[in-house]
Amino acid sequence: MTPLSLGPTVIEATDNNKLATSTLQNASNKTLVVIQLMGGNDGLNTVVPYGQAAYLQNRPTIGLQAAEILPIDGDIALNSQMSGMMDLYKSNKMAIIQGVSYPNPNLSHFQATAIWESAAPDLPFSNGWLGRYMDVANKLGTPATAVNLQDLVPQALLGVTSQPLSFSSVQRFKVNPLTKNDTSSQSVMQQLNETACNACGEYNTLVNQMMQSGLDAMSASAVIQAASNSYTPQVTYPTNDFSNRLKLAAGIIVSSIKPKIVYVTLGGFDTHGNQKAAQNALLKQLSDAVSAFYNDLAAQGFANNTLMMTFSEFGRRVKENGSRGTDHGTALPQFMVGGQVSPGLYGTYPSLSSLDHSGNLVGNIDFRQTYATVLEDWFGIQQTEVLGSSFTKLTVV
Amino acid sequence: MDRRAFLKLSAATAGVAAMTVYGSNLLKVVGASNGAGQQLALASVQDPNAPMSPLLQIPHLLRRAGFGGGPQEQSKYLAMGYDQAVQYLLNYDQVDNSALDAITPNIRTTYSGAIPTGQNEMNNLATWWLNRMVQTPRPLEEKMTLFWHNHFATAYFKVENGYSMYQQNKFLRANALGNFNDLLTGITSDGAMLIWLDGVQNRKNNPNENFAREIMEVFSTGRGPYTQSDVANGAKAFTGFSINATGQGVFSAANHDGSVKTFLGQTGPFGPQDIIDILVARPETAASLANELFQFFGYPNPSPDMIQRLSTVYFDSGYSIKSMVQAILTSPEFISNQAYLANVKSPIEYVVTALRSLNATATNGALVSTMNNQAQFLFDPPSVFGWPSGVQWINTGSIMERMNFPINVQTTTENIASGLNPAQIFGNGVPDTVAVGNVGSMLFPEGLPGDVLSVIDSSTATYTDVTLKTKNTVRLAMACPFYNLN
Repeated sequence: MTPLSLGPTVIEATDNNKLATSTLQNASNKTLVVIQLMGGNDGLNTVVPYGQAAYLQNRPTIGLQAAEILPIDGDIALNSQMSGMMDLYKSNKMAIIQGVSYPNPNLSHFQATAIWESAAPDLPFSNGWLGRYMDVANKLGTPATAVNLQDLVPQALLGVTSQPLSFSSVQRFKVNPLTKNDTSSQSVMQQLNETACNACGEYNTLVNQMMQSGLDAMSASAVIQAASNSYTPQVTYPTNDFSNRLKLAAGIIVSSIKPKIVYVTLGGFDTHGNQKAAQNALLKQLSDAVSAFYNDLAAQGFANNTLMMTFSEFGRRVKENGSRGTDHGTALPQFMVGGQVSPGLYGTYPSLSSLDHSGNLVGNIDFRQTYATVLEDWFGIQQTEVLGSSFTKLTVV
Repeated sequence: MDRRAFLKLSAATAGVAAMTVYGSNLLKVVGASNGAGQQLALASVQDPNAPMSPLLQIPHLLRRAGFGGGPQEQSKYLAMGYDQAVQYLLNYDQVDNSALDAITPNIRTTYSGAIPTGQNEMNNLATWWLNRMVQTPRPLEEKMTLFWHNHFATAYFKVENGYSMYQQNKFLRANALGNFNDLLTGITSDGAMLIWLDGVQNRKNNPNENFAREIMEVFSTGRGPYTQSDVANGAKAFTGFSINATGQGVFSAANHDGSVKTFLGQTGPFGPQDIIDILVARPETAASLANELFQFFGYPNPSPDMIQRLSTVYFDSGYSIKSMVQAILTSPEFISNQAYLANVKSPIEYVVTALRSLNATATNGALVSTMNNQAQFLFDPPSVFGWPSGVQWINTGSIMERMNFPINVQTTTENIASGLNPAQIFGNGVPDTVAVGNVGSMLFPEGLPGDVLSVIDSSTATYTDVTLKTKNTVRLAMACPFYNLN
């Protein structure tokens, strides 16, 4: 094994089992920030079809009234908790893709999440669309760094030959010395991982992946520490965990790491009961954080290099249930935010009066059209390399 | 354990001594399978379906059916022999556990009671259970309770009542090797579950589908046999539950939708028990449980033949979980080369195995935070699907956490109650290299490979203080990939 450095390839792949971790360098400086809304976000109370009479008819207790919406046009509005994102929309930095779904939508959290993250509705599929993108980038000799900012790696980021850098806390993302003045801990750990690799790694891909993760963690640690410690935001972020992670994302985006992908999640959208207060609070958290993040990046000169994309595994049922909540549904809107976004509305809002057999919206844009657009028009690679087949792109980027 | 006892064990107990000697080249000889079920390079030399060396079987059994164990525990089971060890683990109701049962978590003592002042209920529940896992003389009981906690994954973040979470945990433990119909019936009216999957919101004329969907998708048949119409009709059949003043789920016929429903092809005025009876009798339920149990104890992607055999046991035994687990632990697959080190220790297994093996203690705060930092917090799984498993536990952040957590492991120098005694391990003329090997074998009974031990040796030699030598050895052994495999 060669000494570790932050050069073009952190890992020397010596056999097929080795995972080439996303490296700390890329050719161009375009970053995709994925924001996953976990649990199935109710799109109808996010981008509100207030022009359709069926909206309030189906939602007598949780439907948003005139004072609770920010109209975009005579038909749709944003939830009034989303004033930050409304400002981005008005200043032409945001696109709304309406009615996003896929054929035979699945109502299981688990399966629908796997479908969105793998971009393969014919499950099972064990890796993810962004992981496959990294694989392709590696193969093309332009390795792409992905940074995952939570404790677990989402399927979307799992590649066959690539894995993301993953951590939820910069403070914890370093080897602690055994004693205060100890200076050898990290080098011994590196030696241990390399040695164990020799002992067994070539035979056992689990051992291999563990060691590779350890070595990657140690080689990235110092850069991540520096990116975070030296970063001065140009705006004041709200003080909550989600905002903190977007602030960290900004520090990483402007650093020498130059990530291609930063992945953050916001959970709690599975609102089967007492939805309104819970979802409103989450949407406010999302909108305030996204707005601060965009403004910060703009002030740092990175707005044009950054594209934000939201997604959730499904929207929710049109008709509210008996618990002032909503059950699992289908189509929902996606947001795209960035300096290079062609703003406005894409697709059409699904009709609330012609629903599918389970009372759910019928979408008109396939989520893989969004992915195809990101892959070709943002990352500049062939969509078929990742998606297997070809989807009509949107003109959003 | 004092030094004499320790040395006696490592020298005089044939099995342990042999393992230690054999250790350095073991992994190369045996060859293990990776989590994706692909064969390793050595599989062509070693038949993956052939039984693993007898010397590996007890450490393997204890890792899977329990949380490993140090030299004393290994010797105890080695002395029984494999078959007897399996029976001993399975028949844990014959092992006295009254001392541990007397310890209760520091949480509210009734459903509507107040949280003790200044206490964090969720942390207290987690440390209470971790302590049980570390101390228990019935390892399979706690391992199966953990299995059910993941299977019926219910989280404090929504239930927000420590009493209810504790009651559910006791129910799962009491039925850990019980009958699956009893488990499904009990969980349906469980107070925490009624909150978690909105059972109390599922009202006649206003059904809420959450529980009806998940009892099929996650708890019984798995995805496949049902349609959205079965979900909707199942929801109607589960209407009528509420929670009484003492936190018990109660069923009221008056609040139940007694209409005729069609569910999975059968039609009738079905209520909760009818639906449960239909679900437990489905072949998909047998196959799902067989698959989940085998992957928990064995390795990923078991063969269709294995699933079929376990399904047969499920039906022949009248849905007995104990019979299924026995069938797994006594199967050729479970002790095949393919099963050896084929899993990754979950964060819980990582911590509990270390403490059991070293007879050590760690501060409660460190235990709880390392669970949290690796995304496996007891009583708070992320969703109804429970936690990830296997290779999914490995990423740069979790490995960094595993390099750092062992610093928190307490020795007798820091904590009088710890059994990890630096003066005995590294003192009294025990050569450093022997001490390092001994500690390595406590954590990984087969013995760490020689070149790994060399790295630990030379690093440990740079410290003069025996406590630092001990902590450094423990830390490096726990950071070693072999310890992290299961």
